[in-house]
Amino acid sequence: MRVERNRILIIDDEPQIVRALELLMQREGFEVRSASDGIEALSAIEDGAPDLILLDLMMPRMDGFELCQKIRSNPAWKNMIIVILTAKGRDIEREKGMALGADHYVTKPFSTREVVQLIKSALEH
Amino acid sequence: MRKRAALLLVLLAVIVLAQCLVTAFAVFYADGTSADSEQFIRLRQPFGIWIALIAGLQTAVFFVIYLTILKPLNRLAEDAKAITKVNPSGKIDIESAALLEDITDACNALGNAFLEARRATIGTASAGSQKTEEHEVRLDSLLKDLKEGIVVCDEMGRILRFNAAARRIVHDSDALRINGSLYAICARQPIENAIELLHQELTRSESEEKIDRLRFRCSALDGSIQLSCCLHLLPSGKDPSWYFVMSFEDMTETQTTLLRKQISLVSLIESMRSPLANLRASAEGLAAYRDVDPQVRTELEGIILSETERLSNFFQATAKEAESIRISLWAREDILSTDLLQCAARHLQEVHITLTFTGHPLWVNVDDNAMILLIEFVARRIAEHAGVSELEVETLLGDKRTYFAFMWKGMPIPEPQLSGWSGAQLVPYPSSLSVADVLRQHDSEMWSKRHQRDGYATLVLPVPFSQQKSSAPVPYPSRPIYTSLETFLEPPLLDAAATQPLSAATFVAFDIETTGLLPAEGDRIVAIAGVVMTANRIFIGDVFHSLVNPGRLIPGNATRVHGITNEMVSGQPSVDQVLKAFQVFAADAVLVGYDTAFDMSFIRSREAESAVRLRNPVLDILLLSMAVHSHTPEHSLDAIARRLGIDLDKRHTALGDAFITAQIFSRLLPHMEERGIVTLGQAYEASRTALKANRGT
Repeated sequence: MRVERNRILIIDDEPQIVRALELLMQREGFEVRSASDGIEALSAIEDGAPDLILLDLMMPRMDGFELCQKIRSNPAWKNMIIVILTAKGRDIEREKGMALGADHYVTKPFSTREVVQLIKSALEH
Repeated sequence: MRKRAALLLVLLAVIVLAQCLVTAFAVFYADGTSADSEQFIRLRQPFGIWIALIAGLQTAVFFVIYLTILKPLNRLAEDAKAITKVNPSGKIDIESAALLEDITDACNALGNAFLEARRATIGTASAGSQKTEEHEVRLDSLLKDLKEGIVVCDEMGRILRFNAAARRIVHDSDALRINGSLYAICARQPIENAIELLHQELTRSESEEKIDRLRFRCSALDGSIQLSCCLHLLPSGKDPSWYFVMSFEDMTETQTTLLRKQISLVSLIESMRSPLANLRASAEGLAAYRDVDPQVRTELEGIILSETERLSNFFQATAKEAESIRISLWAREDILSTDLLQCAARHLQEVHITLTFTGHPLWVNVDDNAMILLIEFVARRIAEHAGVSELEVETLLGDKRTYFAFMWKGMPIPEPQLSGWSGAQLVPYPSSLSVADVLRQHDSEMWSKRHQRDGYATLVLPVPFSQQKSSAPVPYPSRPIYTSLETFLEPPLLDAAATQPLSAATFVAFDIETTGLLPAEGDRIVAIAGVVMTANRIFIGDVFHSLVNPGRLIPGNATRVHGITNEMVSGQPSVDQVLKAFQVFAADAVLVGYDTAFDMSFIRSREAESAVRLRNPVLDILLLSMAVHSHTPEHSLDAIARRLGIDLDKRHTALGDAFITAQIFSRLLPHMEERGIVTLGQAYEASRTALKANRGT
């Protein structure tokens, strides 16, 4: 039997976008939690691994690249889908994000509709 | 002097003339007297004759004096003047000046002494001939008009010549003087790196593309001036064997303002992304969910209002900044990757770090000095981090960039440590060049992760391609040479296999096509082909050929190389299925390929997740070609095939390349036999030797 995968963790230090994304994801029927930096996120993940994380790169204390590296070094979390949502729009930054283990890389500003679509199709596979 | 001589001449002439006149008057007066005049005439006649005689004698004496003394003296004066002003190497030579011989000799000696003194003053010991003097005069007048500063130095950096602009650019510093050291003005190390790189270029063979000048940045006068320099080497044909000419411009202002503007523009653009995202999410939320409750609705509207205002302010600031920005021209040059690595490796040797490198030399577009410093810095930090003294760098070709992939035994470098490097200074105070500066300058980022090889880690440093030198489509094979010892270390060749004669072995010549160059970055196999052969025969009926569904999109530039499209692979078996079939096909044959480290890295990357274990011995025609044709550096698949007289009509497909590999191998076998390479073990040994000999070239 296939277990439904619908737990999302939003990690961003901008409360505005966290609020907007939370609202959106709840409406789409996902189970949503949020964290405002890498360290907070790491303890949230340890409490219960989400199926997918929406990850900002530039955050205080522990940034997105480091969190990505940490998640990917733990085999228990290898199925966790990492979607980077970031203001870092340079080509080479995208490449670095993917190289460090992200599954998708979306630059801000983004269309919420497209992000929802991306999350749904990523969780289905 | 000349006037007095002329006056003297006139005076003499007047005296002589006066004597003649007196005589003539006396004769005339005697004619007009009384009766006793006859007696008088008788008396007077001898007197008039005497007077005339004396006058004639005096005139003759005068002419003798004039010819022997006055005239030569006059010429002596003229010659001496010519020597002083016009022709310093001239001689005084007056034929009729027997009386003045001593004076002429003395004057000549004086002239010689004068000439010597003059040469010594000019200080150009080598400039003895008049021709050189002329050249120098012409060169000086050329240099004078240039707006760039020019200095000419010998190999020690001793200044031999400079122009007025150079003096102006270094703010009339006293350090800029003939015979002074250039390094008293400019930072030594960028200049020495440039010289080293140009020397490397000189040693390359004639047929290859070469560079004869290098641009770089360099700080002068303790960092108060930033120079944009261009350096040429000039062979001198004598000792010292070369000079260098450096032209330079003051970039201080341009550079700092450009950098400041670039940074502020990037940060402004970045700060606009968040408000824009918030705005869009809120607006889309409102539009999509009409039934949202009034409280949430008010909240979203509030976000829209405040973010719109924030955005407008950022926009204003960005527009203002963009208006004032000028074109940024970093001193980046096209250079071969191997030249950079060689230079860095040599410097690292001094701190006992061995940097070996594999991969094809690729043209990159970098600030060479900054990049060499960064490579050295990274290598030192990795060595520190991992406690190793040996590092390997692979040069990899990607879609948009070239990659220097450092590899070492140990753990990857954690991201916070890596980002902590960014502020580190690469040059000593007071100049400033940080890791972040160099990365920004090359639009680059570094990252570190586990290497596909177990127990190893990698750090990737992407650098820009050369724009000019690779703008033409990269000829196939476009991938770097992957050759590494790994292929030969695992699986180890069993003793029984080592003694097997090549003439009795069965081989499978094989090739793969891929989505790209980096299996660890998600690139996958899209086709595998192989053909069975022995030393005497290629079994053209006994082939393996299968397309593979890579489970990802095939990039357009990969399709351009091998012609395999996404449509062609949809519905094809997965790589694990195909590899399993290939394993059955290959059985216990010896695999033969070109640059097999590349193919094997793709095959090995699947081993963890599939049951496939290809443990066949592997021979590499690239290394075997290097072993038997060590006289040439040309070992591309095309070059080898051409050398052995093989047609290249079926290139660019896995099966076509497998056939070409088979043909090459069958023609290499007789060459190998001539060199006593007749068993598999000997072929392995020859390959290993060739690999070591060709490492980094």
